[in-house]
Amino acid sequence: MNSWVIAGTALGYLILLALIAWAAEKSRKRGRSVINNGYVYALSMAVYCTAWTYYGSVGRAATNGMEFLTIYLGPTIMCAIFWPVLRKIIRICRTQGINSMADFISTRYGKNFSLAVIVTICCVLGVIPYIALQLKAITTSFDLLSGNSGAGAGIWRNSNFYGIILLTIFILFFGTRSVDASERHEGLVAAIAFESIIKLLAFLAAGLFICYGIFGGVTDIFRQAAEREDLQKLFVLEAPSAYSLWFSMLVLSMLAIIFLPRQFQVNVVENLNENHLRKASWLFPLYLFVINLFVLPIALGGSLLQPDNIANADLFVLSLPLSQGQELLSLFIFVGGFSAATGMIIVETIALTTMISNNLALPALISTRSLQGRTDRSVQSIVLWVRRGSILLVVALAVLYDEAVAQQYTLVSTGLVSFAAVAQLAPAVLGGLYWKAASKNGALAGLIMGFSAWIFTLLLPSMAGAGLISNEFVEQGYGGINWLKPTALFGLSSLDPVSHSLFWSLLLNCFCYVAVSLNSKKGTQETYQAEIFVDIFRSADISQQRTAWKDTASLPALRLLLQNFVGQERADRLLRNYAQRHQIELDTNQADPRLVSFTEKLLSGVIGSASAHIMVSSVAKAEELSMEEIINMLRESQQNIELNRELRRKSSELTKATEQLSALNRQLMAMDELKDEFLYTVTHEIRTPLTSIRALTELVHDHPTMPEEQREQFLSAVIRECERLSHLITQVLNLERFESGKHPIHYSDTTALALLQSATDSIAPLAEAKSLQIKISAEEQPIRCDKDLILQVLYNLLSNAVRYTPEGGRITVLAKVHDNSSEGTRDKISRPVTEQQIRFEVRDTGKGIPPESLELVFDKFYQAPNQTLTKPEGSGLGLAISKKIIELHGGQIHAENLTNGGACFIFVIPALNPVENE
Amino acid sequence: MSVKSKNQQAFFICICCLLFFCYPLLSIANKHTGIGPIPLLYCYIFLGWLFFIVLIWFNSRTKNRNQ
Repeated sequence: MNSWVIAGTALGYLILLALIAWAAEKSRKRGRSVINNGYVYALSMAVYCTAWTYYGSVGRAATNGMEFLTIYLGPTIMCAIFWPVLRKIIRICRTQGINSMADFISTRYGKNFSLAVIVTICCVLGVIPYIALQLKAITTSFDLLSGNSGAGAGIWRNSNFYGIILLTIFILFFGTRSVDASERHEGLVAAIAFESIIKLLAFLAAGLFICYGIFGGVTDIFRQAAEREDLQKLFVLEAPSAYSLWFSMLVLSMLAIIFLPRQFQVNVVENLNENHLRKASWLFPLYLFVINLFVLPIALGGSLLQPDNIANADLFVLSLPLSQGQELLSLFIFVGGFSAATGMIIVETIALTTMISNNLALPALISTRSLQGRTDRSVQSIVLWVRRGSILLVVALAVLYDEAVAQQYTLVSTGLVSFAAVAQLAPAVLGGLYWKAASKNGALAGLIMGFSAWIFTLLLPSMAGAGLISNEFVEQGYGGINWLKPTALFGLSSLDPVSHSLFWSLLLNCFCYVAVSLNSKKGTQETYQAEIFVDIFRSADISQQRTAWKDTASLPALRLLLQNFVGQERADRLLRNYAQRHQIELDTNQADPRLVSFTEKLLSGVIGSASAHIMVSSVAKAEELSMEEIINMLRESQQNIELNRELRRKSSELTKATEQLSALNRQLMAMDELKDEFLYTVTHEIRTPLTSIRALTELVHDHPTMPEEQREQFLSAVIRECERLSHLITQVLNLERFESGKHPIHYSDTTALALLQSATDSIAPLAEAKSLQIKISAEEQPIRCDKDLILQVLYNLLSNAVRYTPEGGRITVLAKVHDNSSEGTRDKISRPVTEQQIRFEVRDTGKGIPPESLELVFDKFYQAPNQTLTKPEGSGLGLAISKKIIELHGGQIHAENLTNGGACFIFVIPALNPVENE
Repeated sequence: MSVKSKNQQAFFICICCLLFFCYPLLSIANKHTGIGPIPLLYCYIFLGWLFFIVLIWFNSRTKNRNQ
């Protein structure tokens, strides 16, 4: 393919990225952030998938089988603990104004300058090979697509060189827009998220074409590969050290997802909301899962089609479609790879630049007093130019490494060197997060020993392999001493080079870190920072309000210092807002200690915590608090927090208790209403006969000459009303006796049929009056029960049926053996329960019962809705008494509506109750 | 569920995931057999991977939002 077409496409793609970044920045200025969601955050994390993933994984899979998956399984494992671990780091960085890994470690260990320098140097040394790896990927993929060998062409004649220049201009423009390094690069993050989508789509397109366009699907590739003996070995982990290498790479990638400078940049510095971690913790592993689905099939497909080209297996993803004449698809795949490489270069360069400028360049300028005493905007300009210079330095170093070393190695080998380097940060960071006793000296000792071991066991052998240094010491050991061989240190020769290096470097690192920490004394600043870091969720507020210093600074000097770095307007606004929030006077000449601390935090975002500490110290006379004062201050603050938490807990309990009381109160009010309703019903029922009795007796009393026949009629009516009155009172009394358990039960033998006949005989006159038909269906089933009480139940149910059945209707009464033990009633008064039971049913053809009242009709005092507004038809006690009687017999009663209309009351009682009265 | 126990769950998933993808559990699937033509180890890793993603998703969606 024509080189200019490829270069033009790459240039067009970079311009598109710039437009996306510009649009995102513009949107942010309008107050609408396009990156403020979990999806963009997760996609920006996918900057982890670099050219290594895109090209290198295929190359690794073609030679080592499934081992490449460890690089993606490791981050998945770490994603499970993103919420507890990464959230803690994010919270610390936000409250402390931290913007790089070097700053994080330095701040944790008392804002130690030496630590910041060491971490920066180690990161630069460790990550430059990784950036070089990306450049190599761009170069080789460009050469493959354009058909150039690339050999012999000088760097100036290489078109990739100009691509790198364009990329550098892009980073310079979007990476140094603000002097505040802790400020988010929204434009860049949007561009990175877009690149993640492009590289995923391009890789999937390549995978689908190779699997389904060239071969007959994934299974076809596996089937053909299984027939080749040399490819069968890729299906398993076969090498003797396969498990150790697998484990080492898993550990390396677990650490890399947090400690790689670019991951720290996107995961922590660019994070807008901690809650985005929730989505990213599963979406990012899902991205890794999808992008790796076709890696092994592509590697096997390439090995099948180009068995003589295994040395260039890194480029199978591009060379296979190209060999099939798919130029357009190949160009798209090239853009995907270009995306993967440029995304990494952009973010990694910015992350390294922040560290270099804040921890190396600016402190050097500060020490030469180049920045001190300046009162104009030139300080900001110097800071920005230092950053730009750092960007150029990083890119230049990467180009040099690419030319000198990286070309000799596969992509994965170069990447693993970087992974092993950043793994050395793990003890200092993780220990700093969870171990208060960890000290600055321990961290220093651990980092120095770990990095030294890494250089000796991995970096130097890789340089020797590239011919940059003599290979003699690798083969014979340092100084000819056999047990100082870099790849078999102290005679440990059974491990592969990566596992070997990881083992020794982390062992020495951890040992020195722990041993020195336990045996060194910590300063007050260190103690204070340890408390803040380890207990960040409890002490975030403390760090905002308290300092470890009794600073005495002149407020104008402090203001001037801040103005020099962030501009006059912004400095004034920030100080004013802070002073208002914490009720601090700004009219005095003496600065409040909190303002000094706040200024230092603001400057940390611009020049790093170590440099900021130096700058603030130059205008403030700081008197360090004693250890006792620090501990008392933290204790007091934590006691306040504990007290606050206890108060919140008590308040929550009180709210719960209030809710319970309210519920009880509502219940009592409902019962009170029921009682009032009942009293109303009873008094109404009593008043009606009383009124009749009074009226009739007055008539008889006032008319002594009344005819005898009429007098007898009136007196009969008086007697009837008295009986009604007596009946009502008896019912109330009975209910009370049933409820209190005072009513005796007299068991006797009878039959179900006899009970039904007796009940229907009693109700027959009432039924006849309404022309109702009563039908009985029962067996001569013997039953032992309190005959009178069961008759009372049947009479209640029948009289209700008569009352609610329209004229000419039908009432059916039936009794049968109910032999279902699973529905059998459990005797509540510990009497033996027989399994055989009798089921009684009273059915009518009335209007039925409203469904919502089916459960309520047995409640005492219950009246059908709105009855009290007209005339209540009954006292509301009949069914309540019936239920009580059935329960006393160890049975159950309920009501249901029939499908063809009408209601049905059903009760079940044991057939053979005890002979003795209970 | 308390914040502490949710964090404990997260660490538990992390450890389970690490054990699942390491020796000796990994050696169970490290054999020259397969499900159809697809190697057993390939199926083991990808299915396990998907399972743990679902587990992480489930754990993340039930986290206490009041933290």
